[in-house]
Amino acid sequence: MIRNLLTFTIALLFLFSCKRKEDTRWDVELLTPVVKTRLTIDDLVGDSILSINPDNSVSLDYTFGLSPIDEEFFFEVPDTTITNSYGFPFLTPVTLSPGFQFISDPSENEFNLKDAKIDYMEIQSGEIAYKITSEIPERTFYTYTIFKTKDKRGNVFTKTISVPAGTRSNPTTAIGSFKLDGVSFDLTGNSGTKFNTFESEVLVNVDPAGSSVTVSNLDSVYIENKLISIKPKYVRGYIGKSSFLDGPTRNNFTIFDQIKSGTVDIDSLEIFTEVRNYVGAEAQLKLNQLLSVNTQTGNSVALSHSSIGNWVNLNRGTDLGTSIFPGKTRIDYTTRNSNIDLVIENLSDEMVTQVETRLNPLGNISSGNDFLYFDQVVEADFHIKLPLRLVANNLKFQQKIDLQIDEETNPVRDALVSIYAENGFPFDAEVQLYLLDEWGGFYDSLVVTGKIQSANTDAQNKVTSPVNSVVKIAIPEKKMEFLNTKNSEVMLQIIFNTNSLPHTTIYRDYYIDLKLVTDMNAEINYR
Amino acid sequence: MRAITSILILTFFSLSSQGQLDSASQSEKEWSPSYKIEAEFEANYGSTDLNNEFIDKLLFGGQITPELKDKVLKRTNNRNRFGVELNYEVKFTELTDTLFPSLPAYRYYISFGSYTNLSASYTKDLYKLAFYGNKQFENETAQIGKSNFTSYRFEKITFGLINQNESASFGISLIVGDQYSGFNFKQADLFTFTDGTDLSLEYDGKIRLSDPKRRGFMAFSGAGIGIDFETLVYKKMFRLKVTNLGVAFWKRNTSFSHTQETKEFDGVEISNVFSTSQEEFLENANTLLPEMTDQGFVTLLPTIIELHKKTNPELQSQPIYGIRYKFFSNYLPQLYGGIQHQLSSKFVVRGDVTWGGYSGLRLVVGAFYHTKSIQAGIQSTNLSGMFFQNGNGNGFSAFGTFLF
Repeated sequence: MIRNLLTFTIALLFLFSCKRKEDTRWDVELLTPVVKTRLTIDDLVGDSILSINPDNSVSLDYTFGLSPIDEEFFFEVPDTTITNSYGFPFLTPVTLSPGFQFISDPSENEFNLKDAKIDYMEIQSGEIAYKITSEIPERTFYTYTIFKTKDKRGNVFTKTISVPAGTRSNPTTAIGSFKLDGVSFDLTGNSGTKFNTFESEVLVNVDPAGSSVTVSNLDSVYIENKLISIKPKYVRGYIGKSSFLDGPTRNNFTIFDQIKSGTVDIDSLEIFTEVRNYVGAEAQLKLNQLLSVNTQTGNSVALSHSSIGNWVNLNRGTDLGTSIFPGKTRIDYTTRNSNIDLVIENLSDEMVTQVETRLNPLGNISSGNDFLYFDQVVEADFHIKLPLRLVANNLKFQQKIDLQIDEETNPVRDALVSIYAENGFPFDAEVQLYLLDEWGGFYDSLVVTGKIQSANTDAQNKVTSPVNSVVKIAIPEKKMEFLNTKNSEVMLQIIFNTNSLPHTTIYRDYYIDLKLVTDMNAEINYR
Repeated sequence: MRAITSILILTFFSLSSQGQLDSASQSEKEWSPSYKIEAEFEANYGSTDLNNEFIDKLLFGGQITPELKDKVLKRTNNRNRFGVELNYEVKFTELTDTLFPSLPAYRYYISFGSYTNLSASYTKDLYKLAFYGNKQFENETAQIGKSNFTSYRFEKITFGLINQNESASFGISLIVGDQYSGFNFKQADLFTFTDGTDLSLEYDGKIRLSDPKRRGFMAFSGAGIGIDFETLVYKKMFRLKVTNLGVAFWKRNTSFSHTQETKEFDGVEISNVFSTSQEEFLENANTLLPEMTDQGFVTLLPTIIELHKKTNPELQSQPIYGIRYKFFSNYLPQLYGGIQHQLSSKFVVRGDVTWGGYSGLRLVVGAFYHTKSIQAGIQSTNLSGMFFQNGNGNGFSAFGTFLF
């Protein structure tokens, strides 16, 4: 009775305050479909690499770029310092009136561009730094002009700096810089026939609003200008000889990165390297190494082809004004001229490359008509067009899936998951599931029975009708608890097998319908 | 709400003790009261099949074990009921004057009351489905239709007139709706295919939900009007009492559906099992639920009709019997019969056997005290439920009247 009185009292309190002592919970056994989905080749392979052939068969069209060639190897503008010192040629002191211009000094300066002979350059970024030291006992104005330049508004680059009064014993120093971004240089000098040369002028005036000053041969002005961090956007002229070596570089090769083991016999494939030269100068490229590396198996296969270790000539690009038509060179790899089939069938996840490039190997053969846009230099891509026409033998795919469950969201204690498959693909699929620990390593497996049977096929291994099959996965309570509390990610592993020869072709309209049904023991829980 | 209820209870007990003091110090013949304050409180829960242990865990938390479920299942019939009621009311009556000269025998009263009810009627299959799951229905149909779930709470403010000799009264009320949830499944036949590959549901049901964000005390989520009246009938041998006859209109942020359809469920469709998200799953799963609109709705108030045999204060012992029914609340007609015995001039006890409402057969006992200025009573409306864990509910009511 005491308990019932207590219950009733609690009931009243509940009705008044809606407070509960703990969650209400009970177990239920549910037998229900959960999700269904249709998978086609579009779902299994990324759209970006899938291409459909006229007969509706499917190819993988994969491109990976070799590491970009550093444009700086072609052309680099070193920091350039220009220093001037000006003294007064008066043995006896003279008085300079306000506004008097006492220095006017045009001069030519040359960039050290090695063997390059550039007559025009546009600056992407860079600056001119100045340091002016004055012993003139009045404010002075220094006007610095670089002739035959244009800023973004089309004006000649000219800047005026105000320097406070100084003395012989205590000279004043003005330090600063001006941006040269977007400024173009005509580098033909004053005469218009030179290269790498620009003309500048320094004018110095006494402050027109100041006082008269007295100077003598003991007074000086020092000017130091420095062109620093000049990054050209475009250059024209002869851009010189240079060479470049990149690598060995490990490049991710993602087309097969979900394949962990097994073998595949590929019927045909089209593989080539395309090199595009956007530089207005002749170039050469040499692929020293292309090594297919399967980090899962440890197997490596080096490409064997006549281009390996030999220079390939690249024609110069043509400047069309609004775009550049590159000089293209294509290197085809076939099973006859290379071991490319072995390279691909290694199912690599890395490609190790080493590339060497030369510019103007024959010197200035264009009479100074080279050009270089720094945002587009030389590109090299490795293309694979792989028709999905193959014989797969225990081809093992792995895909990590996050079930996104935890103790709060997943009321299931244990479950028997049945996957009902209507398979319209011409291959078997054996499913395995692994629990992953907190660090992503394999922790345990789930017991899976049955496998997804291949669709029925004709003599050409073309699908004639789909086949139904069931795969059952048991998730006992302890493993469910692990998923809820440790790591809800699982590794789905599917092992594919096709029929043997002839090669099985995958068509776009092939599909597999999957329905996931659970027989589960769940806890209903509410507060 | 808790604070107000506490005040009401304290008022009730303080009135009782104060009344005893007053009655002891005054001459009963000389004294004529001018006002009356009444407080009533009633709370009960019960079920035709769920026992107290089960209800306790359902309402207040705890593990409902398989053994407990099995025990309840044995008592479950094709139609079962469960309900919780919590009602209280305070009433002030002017005893010396009337507002209406044309009705000199009538006095006026004003009252405030609150009514909370959670109730369900359900089939055995629904119980099995809810507490065991659908696996046992593999290749079978679970008939969960003809089941209703209703939850409402409202307050009312009443103005009324009462006959001087309390033989009749009439009141009109403003209804302040706090919350309403109504699930009425006319038909819901759930077939589980072999191995659970598909579920099929033939459904004809109505869902009405008030504003989920406005559920508190005096929330005005809905509003309505109601009337109460009371009179003596059949040679003045019986007291007929009707409470909360009226309607409530629910318009604010409501959800409504009235659907008749057959649904075949073979899984929530997702675009790619390798790259799905919980959001995609829930979004697609929600499309399987009945489509809800924001249409407002009208509900009839859970009207209570009571017919009690009028007792004779001159008799020391006399039979008592009557009937109580509550509309739209999954309620069974409640019948009772028993005896009332006058222990002294001030104390009365009564006991009866009651059947219906939300519970089966049960014992009711009560004790009442009255003087000229005080009337008070306390009653267990489910004595058997109070004693036995297997009892089907519990109940308590109390009232106090203070005349001054």
